[in-house]
Amino acid sequence: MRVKGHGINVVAKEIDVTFNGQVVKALEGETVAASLTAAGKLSLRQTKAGSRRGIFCGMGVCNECLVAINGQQNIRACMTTVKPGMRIEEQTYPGKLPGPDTPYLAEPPVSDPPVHKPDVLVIGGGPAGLQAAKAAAKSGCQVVVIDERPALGGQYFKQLSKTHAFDSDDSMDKQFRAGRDLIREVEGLGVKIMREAMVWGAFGPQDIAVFADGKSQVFEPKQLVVATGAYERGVPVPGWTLPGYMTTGAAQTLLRSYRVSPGKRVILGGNGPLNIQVAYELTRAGVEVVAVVEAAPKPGIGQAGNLMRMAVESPDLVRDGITYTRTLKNANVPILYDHVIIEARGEGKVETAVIARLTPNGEPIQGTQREFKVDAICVGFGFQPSADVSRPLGCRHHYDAKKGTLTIETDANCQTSVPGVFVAGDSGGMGGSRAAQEQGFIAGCAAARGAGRTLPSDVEAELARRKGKLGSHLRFQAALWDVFKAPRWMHELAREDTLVCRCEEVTLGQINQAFGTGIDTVGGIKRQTRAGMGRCQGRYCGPVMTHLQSLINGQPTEEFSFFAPRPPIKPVPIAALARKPADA
Amino acid sequence: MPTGAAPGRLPNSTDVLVVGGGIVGCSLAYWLAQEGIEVVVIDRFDLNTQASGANAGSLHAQLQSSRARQTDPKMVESNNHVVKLGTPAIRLWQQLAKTLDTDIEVVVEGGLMIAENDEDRKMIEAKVKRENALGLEAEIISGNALRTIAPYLSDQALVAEFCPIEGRVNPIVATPAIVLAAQRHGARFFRHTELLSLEKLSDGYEAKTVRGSIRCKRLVNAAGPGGGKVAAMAGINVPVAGDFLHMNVTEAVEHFVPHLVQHARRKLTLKQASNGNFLLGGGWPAGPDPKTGLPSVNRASLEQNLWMSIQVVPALRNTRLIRTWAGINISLDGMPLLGPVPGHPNFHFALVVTGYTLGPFCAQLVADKLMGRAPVMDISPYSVERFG
Ligand SMILES: Cc1cc2nc3c(=O)[nH]c(=O)nc-3n(C[C@H](O)[C@H](O)[C@H](O)COP(=O)(O)OP(=O)(O)OC[C@H]3O[C@@H](n4cnc5c(N)ncnc54)[C@H](O)[C@@H]3O)c2cc1C
Ligand code: FES
Repeated sequence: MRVKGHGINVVAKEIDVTFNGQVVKALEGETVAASLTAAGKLSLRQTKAGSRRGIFCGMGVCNECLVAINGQQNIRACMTTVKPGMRIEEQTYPGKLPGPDTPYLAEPPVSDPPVHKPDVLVIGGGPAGLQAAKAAAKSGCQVVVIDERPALGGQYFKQLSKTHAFDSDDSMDKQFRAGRDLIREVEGLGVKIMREAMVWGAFGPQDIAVFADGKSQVFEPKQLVVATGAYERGVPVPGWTLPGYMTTGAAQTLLRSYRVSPGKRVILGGNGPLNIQVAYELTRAGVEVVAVVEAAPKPGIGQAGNLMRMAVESPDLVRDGITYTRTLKNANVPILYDHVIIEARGEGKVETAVIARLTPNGEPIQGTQREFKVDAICVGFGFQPSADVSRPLGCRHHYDAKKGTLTIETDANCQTSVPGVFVAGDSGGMGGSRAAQEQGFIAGCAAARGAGRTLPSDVEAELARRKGKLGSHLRFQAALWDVFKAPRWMHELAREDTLVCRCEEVTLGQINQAFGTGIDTVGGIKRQTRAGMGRCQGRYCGPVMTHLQSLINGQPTEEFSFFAPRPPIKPVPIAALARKPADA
Repeated sequence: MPTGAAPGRLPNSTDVLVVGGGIVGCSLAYWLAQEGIEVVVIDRFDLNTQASGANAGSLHAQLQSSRARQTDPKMVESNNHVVKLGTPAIRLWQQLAKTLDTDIEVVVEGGLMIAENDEDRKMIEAKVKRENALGLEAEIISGNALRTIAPYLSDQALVAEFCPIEGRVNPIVATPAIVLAAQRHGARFFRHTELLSLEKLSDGYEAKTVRGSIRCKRLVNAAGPGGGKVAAMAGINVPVAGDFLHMNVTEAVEHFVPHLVQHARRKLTLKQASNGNFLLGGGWPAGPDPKTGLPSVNRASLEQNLWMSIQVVPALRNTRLIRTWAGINISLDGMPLLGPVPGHPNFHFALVVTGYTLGPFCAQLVADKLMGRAPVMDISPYSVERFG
């Protein structure tokens, strides 16, 4: 459903496309995912087992939103811009063999891939990557920023798409404004920006393979800044694969960038402040939000210390939080603390959300179930850093048991164990957008130095200021997550018949059974059950299986417990990668 | 729930101890246990993780093109011995597919080796003659006949060798199915049980492992790439090494290639698995990671293997690469190393360098020998004696 905005107007042309033969009105320049969601088409593909899937991550990672477009198979709706006359069809499994009139996804190259040698290559155009690019460019480096999405800004600074415009700057919230200003600044510094460009392989710090414009290209940068962000943790619950069940991040992208709501009646759940913010944004846009279901207990007297610390470190963020909760209260949207969404039900799409109250140990209490009729469920359980570039480069990581994630090891300059490779922002752990920006700037400065530049005095000054602020942001984050402290579910909310591996459709029961035969490594389980072999490359099921493995073999989880990192980082058309052997 | 593979304690003794839980070790345990022989399999890692779990599952019978070009008389002879194994080995897979209660995805629709020029055509013509003489069914097809059975081939494919017995199996399903069947007959499997040393006893060996010692009357070395080290523990020298190989996997598309496809000149094996994904390989090298020694993917192999694939099957251009892996293969002198060792009456080899295809069959030959039966074919050419 399209929402009307406060001071935001449609400026794009309305165009016609078809979905399964039916005409759908779209706005030129939005993503296919936005057009279809606006038209209430949530089911986008059929799996091998014949079930339906739709948008889940909204950021190109999960591969659940696949559609066929003009005969081309397996196109991610969330990463593809809609064009007039597009013939969009539900993707079947397996994909059809494209007919002779289907345009090729890419032309096989006639020569070796082009090689670029910038001073600094920044992977990721979110807050961390943009700040890194800014710092390095201001220090005289030749910088290239690569991002897979059609627009810069990443998760936090994602901008309103060109389909809409603000009445005036005053209609923009500060998140939009800060993002816009930073993007403009970076663009103004002569940084080369490659949008819709994806790193598909990290073969070495000076051998980064990129897919852009239908071609593979190679980067041999002097210094590399990895700022690939994070994706939402996958917490399997019964029904989590139904169309209409998506991450809160996906819902926010639809709303903030495209003014589309995932549904008419929406419930949000999981853990952390993002769910509350997005509930607020949806409510303000006129969407009926039935509840926000928060796993953490309601902050009480015991949290006074943390709340105080947050107010000291970032008073504006605390004020925002108060605005969000007050608005929700006035709109009669309950925030149900100590609760979790335990199940999604529906025929081919979400129709009902089932929630339950939690014991202090995080177990749903029998008999406290309540059902809500909804058409969309948005969940956020925190993030998983994208280590898909840093791991193949051999950068050292460790397992953070508290967060349940693999975390990069860096020094004070954000440098990893591999010299010349820096990691900043969410891809290095989770510190929020402010810490990400400081880290990005710090990494950009260190990379500039590594590339042989001396920092100009204004950059030095900004670096000192940002280094000083980083501690404050990290203290804020620590206090924030103490307030939102909740159980870290992995497989616990799943039933035996719940899919853990969404792509290959492997249930918890099948995984448990495989462990029961004596297999005790995730690699062994992967081979036995195919869990982790799908298009998302184990990004959602991998951490759950790694956790199960540690329960079964009693070994602590470490970096090598995870699936071995192998290219391609994301699926790439073969013709783009093919290279003629020298002797052919 | 099968428990034989669960941690448990390593027994104090067994009749046969198999070192290596790949396809060879696991199927050997199956053949022996079926006949009531006490057998324990140990592996350094999990079962089926090394070459057996990381190969492409092609069921090969015809000589690979690089081998067909070898002229050294010794290699020509070994290659002939390898060709003789292919047909019975694939027949055995077909039989296993019937007897095991899991679908191990054995499909035998034949294999094609494509020639694009005259020189390659001559090579496959000579190869077909040679293979026919060794008992392998194969023929040359071209023109319309070739287009009819393989309309997916590029126009450049002029002529091909067609070998009807070739096909595929799914190794990640097949080995575990064999393990389960072996367990049902009493075979026991111990994972993460690396062999540390061997002490020769008058009536067998005492094997020290990371999980304690076990005595055995007979020891079988099925340790694949690790087989050289295991042999050395018994004072036997064999030149076993490991090769790292690259594999590409595409997204699933509707079935249109039923055959196993190879090229007469260049490294390529191409086939479509049961679930629609294509597995593209053919011996492209992968590197051991300099830091960890583990297999790691090499960009040139990835790219060139894809180029080869779309040269032969152009429709693949429009599919995506979704996974790659690097696996370790066993390298020796081109022939399996099977059977007893002179001077070491209780030590037996079961090292199959020429593929997953030959694993169960070679294991059966070794099993027969261990049970004092005459194997279905003479195994002396595969003996360690060839190394002098
Ligand atoms: C990429 C690739 C593609 C291939 N494609 C095909 C194909 O399409 N068709 C085909 O037929 N073949 C193929 N092969 C070859 C085939 O996989 C192997 O020849 C076959 O698996 C050998 O089986 P194995 O049991 O002897 O060895 P392996 O499977 O390697 O098993 C040996 C086991 O011994 C264990 N071990 C070693 N040392 C010790 C020790 N000291 N203590 C305890 N345990 C030890 C190892 O951990 C290992 O698990 C391919 C190989 C690769 C790598
Ligand atoms: S929703 Fe498009 S890839 Fe996840």
